[in-house]
Amino acid sequence: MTADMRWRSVIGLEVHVQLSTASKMFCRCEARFGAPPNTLICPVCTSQPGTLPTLNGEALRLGVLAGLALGCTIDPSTKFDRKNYFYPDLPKGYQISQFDRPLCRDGHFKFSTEEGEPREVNIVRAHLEEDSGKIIHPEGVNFSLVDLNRAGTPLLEIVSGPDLHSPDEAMAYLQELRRTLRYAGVADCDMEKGGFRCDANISIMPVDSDTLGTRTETKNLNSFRFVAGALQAEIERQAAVLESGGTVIQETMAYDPDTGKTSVLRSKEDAHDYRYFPEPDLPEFRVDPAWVAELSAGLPELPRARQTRYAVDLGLNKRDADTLVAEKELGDYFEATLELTKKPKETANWLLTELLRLSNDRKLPIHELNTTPARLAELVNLVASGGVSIQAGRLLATAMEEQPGQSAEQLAQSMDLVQLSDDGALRQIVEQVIESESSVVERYRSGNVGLLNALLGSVMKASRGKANPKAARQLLLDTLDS
Amino acid sequence: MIDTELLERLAGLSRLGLSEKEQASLRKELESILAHFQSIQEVDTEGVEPLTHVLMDSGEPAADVVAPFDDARARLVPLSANHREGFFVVPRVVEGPQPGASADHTTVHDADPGDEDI
Repeated sequence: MTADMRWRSVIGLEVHVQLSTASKMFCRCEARFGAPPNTLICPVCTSQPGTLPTLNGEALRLGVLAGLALGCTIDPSTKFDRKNYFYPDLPKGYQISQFDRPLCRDGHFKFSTEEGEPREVNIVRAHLEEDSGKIIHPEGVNFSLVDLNRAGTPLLEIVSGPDLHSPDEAMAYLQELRRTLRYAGVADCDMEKGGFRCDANISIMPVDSDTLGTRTETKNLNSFRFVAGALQAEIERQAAVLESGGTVIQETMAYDPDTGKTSVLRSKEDAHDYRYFPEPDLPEFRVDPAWVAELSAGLPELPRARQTRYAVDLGLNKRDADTLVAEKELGDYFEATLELTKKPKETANWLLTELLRLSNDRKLPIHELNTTPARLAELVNLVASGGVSIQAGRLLATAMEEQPGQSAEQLAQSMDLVQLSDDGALRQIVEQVIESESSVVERYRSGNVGLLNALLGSVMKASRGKANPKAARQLLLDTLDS
Repeated sequence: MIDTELLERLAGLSRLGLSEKEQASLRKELESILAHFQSIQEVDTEGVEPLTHVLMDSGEPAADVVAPFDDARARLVPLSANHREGFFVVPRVVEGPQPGASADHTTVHDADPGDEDI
């Protein structure tokens, strides 16, 4: 029996998301990843004496948008607090954060497990705070190096309730959260650049109990894979402690992806005592409910709603709906094309096969291809009307990408791909085939009706693949049976 | 009352090493500050909303427009006691075991120690 069967795990996640602003939270330095060390700093974010913070209005707007997307209540007046701790990544000796009046609170956020089971997580709070700098520890020396480019980058810390019960559920929540924030235009959540980082609170209790166990916190999980690994490792560690008669101690853990194990980073005795107090250098900010309502109205359709609409209203299969919704750009492209074709399934098929193939081949995001939604719609409509065959459509897709000046129809003409559907030319080919394949025709007429396909094949061949198979089949039947 | 234990804890949180003489004078100062707050606490605030700022609703956020501080590295990094190659240099700080640490690369330590119970 695995630990999962004997113990029920209780997981709450704290996610730090970097908000997509141009400048930092409290100064106008550029907020950008990857610049040479200490080139994006100023007297404010290096905390020179006498400097004062000014709040970035865009960070506030994005924080409100995120809160709305997470179903939170937005505080009509928000304030900042100092979270005091001494560490070299934080030149002021405190982090400007929010303590008792977070911008967003009491949210309800829905997601589905990988098996499609609906779940809901409470969002306890989401508050604004500034990021710290980065510390580098070179090997073999007795000093550390500090880069403050990241110091002051706006973060939204999103705290979930202890509502998740397995590593898989936690992952599904994180994925939906990331997707939702990206759709809302709040953050790009680029994990490789530290734009989406997670701390996990975990406790376990016997499956037949309802008394919560002692929790530990595992910090700085900056990839989905690490989150899953760390949660599983910590659940197993706690189960082993309890099963050997020990007790779980409330402490802070670190996860080592190389060993797949968690180990103690800090015990409770060393726990930080942040001595929060209101930030006197920043006033309270009124968050006008009318403005919040305006932002709420402008919130784009979120991925979960879009996915349901694709599956239920448009009748797409779950896999296609999932793929179209995974990245907002792809879904938006689909919407724009669908507007012109009104054919959901065909549009999804062409987009998910040919356009994704072109995007992969050319290593370009889909919205940078020459094939715009309007161009794709031409192709979908041309195939749907029988103007070209599906096979010809594939050739046409590549040609359209290579020759953006030519319409689908012009290219179909010049590439000789136009399908023969009309009576005249097609009838001539059918009659030729019936004449030249007289022995097959005889056997067909004497009862071997399966030979119709052989005759159809000959028609296709004689037309060099341009015959519309449906029309050709009907014409064959009509001619043979007459 | 500020006892030695509390004083040491506060000094530890503030990363301060205090001599005995400093401890004695600091204890006196802190006690007088606490006494001041104790007298303020005598005011009856029953039913009064907490006030954190004297000016309410006065905040006007700034526009999100980048305005770089010219020659930031050259002007700011040398202000620190110790620096090299564009970095600020600090006494080695490595808290607890370093995830993924190995002999051939430096480790980047994301050192937000995070929240306890809020």
